[in-house]
Amino acid sequence: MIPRHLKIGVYFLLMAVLILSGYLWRLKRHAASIPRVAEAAHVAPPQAGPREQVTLYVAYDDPGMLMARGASVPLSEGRQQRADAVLRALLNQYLAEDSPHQIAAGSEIRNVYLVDPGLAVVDLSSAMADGHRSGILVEELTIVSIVQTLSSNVPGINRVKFLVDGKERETLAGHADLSSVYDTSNVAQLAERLKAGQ
Amino acid sequence: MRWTKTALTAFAFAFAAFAQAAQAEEKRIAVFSPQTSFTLPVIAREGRDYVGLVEVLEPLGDVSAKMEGGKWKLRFVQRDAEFTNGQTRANIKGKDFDLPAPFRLDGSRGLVPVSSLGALIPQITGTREVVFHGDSRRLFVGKVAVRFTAELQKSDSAQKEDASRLVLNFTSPVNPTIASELGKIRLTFAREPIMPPVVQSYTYDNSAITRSQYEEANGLALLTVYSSTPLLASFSNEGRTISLGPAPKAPPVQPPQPASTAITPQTPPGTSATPLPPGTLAAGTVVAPPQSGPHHFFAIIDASHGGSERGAGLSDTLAEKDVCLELARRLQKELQNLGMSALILRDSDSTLSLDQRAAMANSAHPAIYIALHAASQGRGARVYASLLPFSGNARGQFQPWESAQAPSLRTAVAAAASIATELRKHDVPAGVLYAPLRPLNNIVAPAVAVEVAPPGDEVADLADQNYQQSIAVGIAAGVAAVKAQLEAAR
Repeated sequence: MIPRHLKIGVYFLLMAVLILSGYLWRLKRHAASIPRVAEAAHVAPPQAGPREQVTLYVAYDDPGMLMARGASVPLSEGRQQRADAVLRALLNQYLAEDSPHQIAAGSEIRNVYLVDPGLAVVDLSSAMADGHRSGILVEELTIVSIVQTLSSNVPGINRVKFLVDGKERETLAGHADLSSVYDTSNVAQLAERLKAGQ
Repeated sequence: MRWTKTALTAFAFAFAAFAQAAQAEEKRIAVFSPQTSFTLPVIAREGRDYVGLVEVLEPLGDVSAKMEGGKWKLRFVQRDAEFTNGQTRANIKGKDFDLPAPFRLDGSRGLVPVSSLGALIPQITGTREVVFHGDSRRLFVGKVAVRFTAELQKSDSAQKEDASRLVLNFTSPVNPTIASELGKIRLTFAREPIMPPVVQSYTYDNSAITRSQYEEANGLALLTVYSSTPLLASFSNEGRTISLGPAPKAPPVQPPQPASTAITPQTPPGTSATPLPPGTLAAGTVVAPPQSGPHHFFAIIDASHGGSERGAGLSDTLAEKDVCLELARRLQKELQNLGMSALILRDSDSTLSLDQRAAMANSAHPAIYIALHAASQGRGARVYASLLPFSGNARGQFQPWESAQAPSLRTAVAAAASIATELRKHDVPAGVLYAPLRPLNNIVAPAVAVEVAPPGDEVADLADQNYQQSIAVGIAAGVAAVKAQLEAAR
């Protein structure tokens, strides 16, 4: 004779399986019909504000190093505006006549999107990617300098993804990977090695 | 006891229904058109397969749909159609059209039976050239068909029957996924609108390549070639030709020699244009694993870039792809001189994608993967291990593609350090770094990349035979120094 409480338990489990199967089926149908929406916000153009001292990680082609350089940058409170401002300051260093790491004229960072939790999406201009010099080290210096400058000056970023003109691209100029998402802690370790000139 | 049986049966039905619901999600339909190729999920309704009509038409042209007066009205590039929920009769451009099963509304989404697409799409799009393979759910809209021929090219000598090759010629470039199993190699075409050959199953009068079988299933085209020996697939003619032939035998492995004698170049500088040694393969080679016995190739050498992708323009006349290839050939020879078999992935001026390179290298199960690059910046050589990206965790034995290198990274770093040390011994300044460089991340074996810079101010010296020879000897010696570690990690 099967105890009554065991019977009730099994009936209850059976009901639960049936209900959950139906619920899962409905969820799948519902999910398939919902258009996906990117959770990103456009970064506003740089605004004038109180200047603040930030650290830019500047690449030097000779001898293939990364160096921390202080810079005074007008910053506002918002994280996205802050990200935008530090990266524009970094690019200004590279576009200067005495740049230690020349990049193509017309290079710019179109936008920086901060997507919670912890993801920054950096949209480079095609002028920057198409005109970038080709080589593992020279491309790596650009990528590491951007990621390290961003993660050091904007709190809460632990991953960085690159786009070019709003689209996915395989490499920057044939070498540095743009298809993956960069882990800022791995990049920080690499930046330390590059700062030591290794 | 009767009660227990009833409960178990009910459980079995519940789980079967659950599994069926999950299974239905995996069914798909492939649509090939001149604009694009794409796949869509098949939706099960009352035991029949349905598909969203707007989703099928959207990539083909401007389409809109709305509910009006109880009718679902569709407009595709100036052509109007009306459907009614639960009815088989539709109206397309003022004419009645009968569906094989009732039209279904899923919210505002209109679903039509998959089996109706062959007749329905020509009516809505006005395109007469529509072919639908109902059993495999492959829809061809417009002139998109890719056809192929298969020809067995036999060796001249009857004794060398195992040197025969099956040559597949396609009317457009293809990029199938290639998987090898014991006794067969399978080419899976997911994106290409491959049309079936006249004879879908063919038995060859050959002891090495015995049979080929073409099939279609779930939106895919599959070509399976059966063989008695491990096969290689090599791409040529810009992806239009795939040759399947037996894998070359690896050279006999010699016992390691003392480094001082082993690293002496046996080939004088300037002999790089000599014919390729045995074991050298054509561009774009996929290596099917051997059926038994030891692994065939110890090292895979990847001459980076190639074909339309020149890499860095080192000077007006010197391209990175050419320096890489030259260096790869020298390195192969040096590794073989040290008793290590080596295979060059790209041994001609052909284009290979990063994913293709990774797939080829992984198929060969080497002890080490070495990518060669050249640059004008800096001096000497830089040896790189992979800077792993942010990715998900491994699940059981499955590693995420973007971080397939993770389990081998420690060994790769040791190999990179050893190579840098040996390069310095050969008067080539060298250091070790990590780099976000594909396909290093996607390689399952320890993977390193060597970027060679000029020895001095002259970029043209990258092509200097003595300099290249020093680099090749240094890399080979570095690999030899960690050979035991690489073997252990294999």
